[in-house]
Amino acid sequence: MKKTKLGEFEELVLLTVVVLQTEAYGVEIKRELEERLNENLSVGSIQSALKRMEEKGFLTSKFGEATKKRGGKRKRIYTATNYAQQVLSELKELRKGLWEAVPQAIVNLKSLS
Amino acid sequence: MKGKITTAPPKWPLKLLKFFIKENYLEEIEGDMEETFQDTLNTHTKKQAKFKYAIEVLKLIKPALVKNLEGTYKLNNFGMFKNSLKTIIRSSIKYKFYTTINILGLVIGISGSLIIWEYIKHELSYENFHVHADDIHRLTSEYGNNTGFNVHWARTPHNWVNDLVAELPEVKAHIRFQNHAPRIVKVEKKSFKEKYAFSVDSTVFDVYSLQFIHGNPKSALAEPFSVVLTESIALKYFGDKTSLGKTIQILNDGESILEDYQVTGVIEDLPTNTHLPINMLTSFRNSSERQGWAYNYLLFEKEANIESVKQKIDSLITKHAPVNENEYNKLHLQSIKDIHLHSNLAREITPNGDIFYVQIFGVVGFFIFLMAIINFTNMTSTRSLEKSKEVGVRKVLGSNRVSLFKYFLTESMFHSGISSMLALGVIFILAPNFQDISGISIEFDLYFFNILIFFMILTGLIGGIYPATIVSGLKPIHALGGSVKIKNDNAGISFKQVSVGIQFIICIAILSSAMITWKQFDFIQSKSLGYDPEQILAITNSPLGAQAGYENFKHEVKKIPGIIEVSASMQAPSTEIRDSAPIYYEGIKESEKNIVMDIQVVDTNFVDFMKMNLLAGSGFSENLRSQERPPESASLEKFHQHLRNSRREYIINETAMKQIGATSPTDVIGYQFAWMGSFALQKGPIVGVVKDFHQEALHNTIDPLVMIYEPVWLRTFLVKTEARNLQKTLSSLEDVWSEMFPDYPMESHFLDDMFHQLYQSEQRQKEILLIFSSLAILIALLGLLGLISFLIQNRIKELAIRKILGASPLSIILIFGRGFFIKACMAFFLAFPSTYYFMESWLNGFAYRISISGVEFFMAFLTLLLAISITIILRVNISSSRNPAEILRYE
Repeated sequence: MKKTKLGEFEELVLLTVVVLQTEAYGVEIKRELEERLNENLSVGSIQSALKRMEEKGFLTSKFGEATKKRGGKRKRIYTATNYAQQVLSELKELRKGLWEAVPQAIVNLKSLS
Repeated sequence: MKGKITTAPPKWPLKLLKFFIKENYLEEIEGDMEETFQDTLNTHTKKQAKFKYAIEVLKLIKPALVKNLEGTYKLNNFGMFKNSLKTIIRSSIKYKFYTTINILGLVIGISGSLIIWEYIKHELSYENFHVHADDIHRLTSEYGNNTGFNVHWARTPHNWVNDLVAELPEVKAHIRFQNHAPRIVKVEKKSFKEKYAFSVDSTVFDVYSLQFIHGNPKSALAEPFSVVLTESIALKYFGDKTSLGKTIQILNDGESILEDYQVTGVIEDLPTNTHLPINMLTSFRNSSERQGWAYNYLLFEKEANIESVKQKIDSLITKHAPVNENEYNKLHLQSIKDIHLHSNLAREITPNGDIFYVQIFGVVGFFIFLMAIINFTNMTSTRSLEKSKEVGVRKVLGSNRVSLFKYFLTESMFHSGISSMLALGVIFILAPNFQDISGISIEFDLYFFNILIFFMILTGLIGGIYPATIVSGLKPIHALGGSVKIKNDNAGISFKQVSVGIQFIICIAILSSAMITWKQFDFIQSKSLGYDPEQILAITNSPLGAQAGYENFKHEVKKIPGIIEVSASMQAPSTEIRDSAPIYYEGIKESEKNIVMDIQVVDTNFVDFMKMNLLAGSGFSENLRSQERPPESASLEKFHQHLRNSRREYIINETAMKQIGATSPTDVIGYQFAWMGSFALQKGPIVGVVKDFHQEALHNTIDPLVMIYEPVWLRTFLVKTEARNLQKTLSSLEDVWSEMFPDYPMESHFLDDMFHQLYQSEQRQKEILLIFSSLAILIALLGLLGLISFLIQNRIKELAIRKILGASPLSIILIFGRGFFIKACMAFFLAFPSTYYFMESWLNGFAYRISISGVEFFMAFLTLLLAISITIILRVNISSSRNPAEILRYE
């Protein structure tokens, strides 16, 4: 597997999409990530990541409902594809494997600091 | 703070969004932005929210979201570029002929312009390696009197100069370079005669930036009898061994024995771009040595006001210089950076260049570049016939005008790039040859490559913009349906007309100027000088000891078979005479007193020896020789006495005769005359008038001249040899010399070589000019070839039919070349007046010049017509070797 398939930020966004299920649209994803990361994100970075992943085939999207808050504009709901799910679990396995291989002593030291 | 839902986000960012965000993303993104805005209103003030909104908009400018650029932007563009390149290469190969002409023209143009650029850069860079170059000025002296005589020397003779300069507070340092004549140097057993071996103040290293390899600049010349060598001189004297601390022996002016000097330093060789070459520098032996002729350089404070200094000097002169009501002395300052190109005084250290040549080459270089680009543009745009189909297909497939424009611009940049690389190769190969001719070595440093790239981009852009604009605007329907009508290029004023016309004008101008220049130089070099310099060997600058032995030498040398005669003079013919002083003449009217003339000292047989034409009188009488000259060892007093009291006879030249008011040579014979220089000579009779002869280069008019016999002042020995067995004769001569004067090397040159030397710099400029003119003409011809080929290509059916119907070559030439011939005529009438005027003013700078007839211009015109005709015939023959039936069949 090529490691360049998914960037770090993209991975985070993708996971958030999976988490949010039917409510996964731009601003909501942004709110969720901002809360978890505890830092501000720009609409642009989120949108950019979403569009790129759509290109690469990790996401599909369709229009949702319009609200007054959005000035009458519809939102776009994103869903992770099967391919995306597969890649995500591959990455998870990869990381899990590495973490398990970390020598016990280091882990202990880390927990001491 | 609760925000009201009715607060809207600022309008202008929205507009921006609409402008650059992809259409299909707009709704979602706008919505997201709006929602975020409303959220922000919950936590920030309206103003802050609006500000944040604007920032967010800016942050939306990301490649993934912006119009016209897919997520794979970079990949896509590169792919397009690769495709363009492929098509460009294919089309270049398909139309080999035109591509070759294009590239050849550009290669010549770029390499020619670059080389000229290097030349100009070098000429303008003189003295720039001196850190203080901006503040160093040379002091020159001008002398004149009221007979109209005036001379401006590059060096000063007056001792009061030192005191005058001391009164100028703006001067940080005053250095004098003395001993400009070559000095004899003895190293271990070997003798040398070194040029540019100056004695100079110890402060010279504060003024001039001379890089020390060994030794300390602060102390190197502090002590008397110290010498600093340049690297190559040190190598010559001592090979690889260190020279520091070693002793060499030098013969100084006015001394008869060698003196010991210690080597206290070695400096790097000076680069070529200086007017003051240096081989070695010696310190002054004592403080009183700082007198007499010297090249003076002043280092000024940075803030010095040179203008006010000049005025001060003018007023100080009246204080220091002795005043004589009939003459004047002036001192001038020249910035050393101006010397090489703008100074042309008497007794310059080395012959200088001339800003004139720099300008000429600049113009020629510009023309070369201009024509190369014009050709390039024309060639590219005239191929629209072939291109139009390509353009039509591309447009049908969806190209827009902009990308087509970019494509064609890429094509011209590509050609420009290839040509530049080839030009680089050409320059690299030719660099040594260029160095031989001009003395300039081309450095392939970063600066050079920058210029090359600049030229490449400039050519590609200028040459490509116009054709790209035209070609990308072609309409597909014209291209694909039916044949494209090419505007009739023989009528009307289009870019092509004008450019061809310009090229013709340039051609005629260059051809005729080249011919005139050639004729002028030929004329100068072959004009009769007034005597026969052939096969006379001049032994120059013999030291005091050798001069004393002259009579002996003459006697011994004449014994050698192959030696015809021996004579001597003070200044070798071909060198300048500027030893001038007032004269006395018996028959002179009161108002014409104070005429000044040059003096040349000769042996009694000089006039016959040089085969000069004695118009009247009998020449020097032999009994002049019976006067005893003081021996070498005699005191200075004795010498002065001898010079003042000896009996004198005078020979003058025609110009001198005219200046004293006589019309016929015989009129002056017998009258009393005297030359009143630093040693007022005795009055004596005029015993001869010689026909004017050229002592110096033909540049200068002949000055009035006085000749006397004085053995003490005979510094140049002249030996006339037979042409047969020259080598043997010469070696016998050298043997006699080294036997008689073992301590002094014999420095000799043939007179005709010395004369040729005078014209060396002209010769060199002439060669360079001719080379570049030919280049310019070559480019023009290439352009002509391309245009004519294209023209014939266009009308190939017409040509085929005419040939079938039996048209003669002449009529074909006339028909197809009509447009060109007309333009050639117009070019002639336009080029003639300006070139004529320009050449006239150039020729006026010569004392002896040819006159311009119209011949050269007609020749240039005819050559052009001939070139056009030959090109047409060649192309016609090549094209008509195809079967006419084939040509006519295609529709």
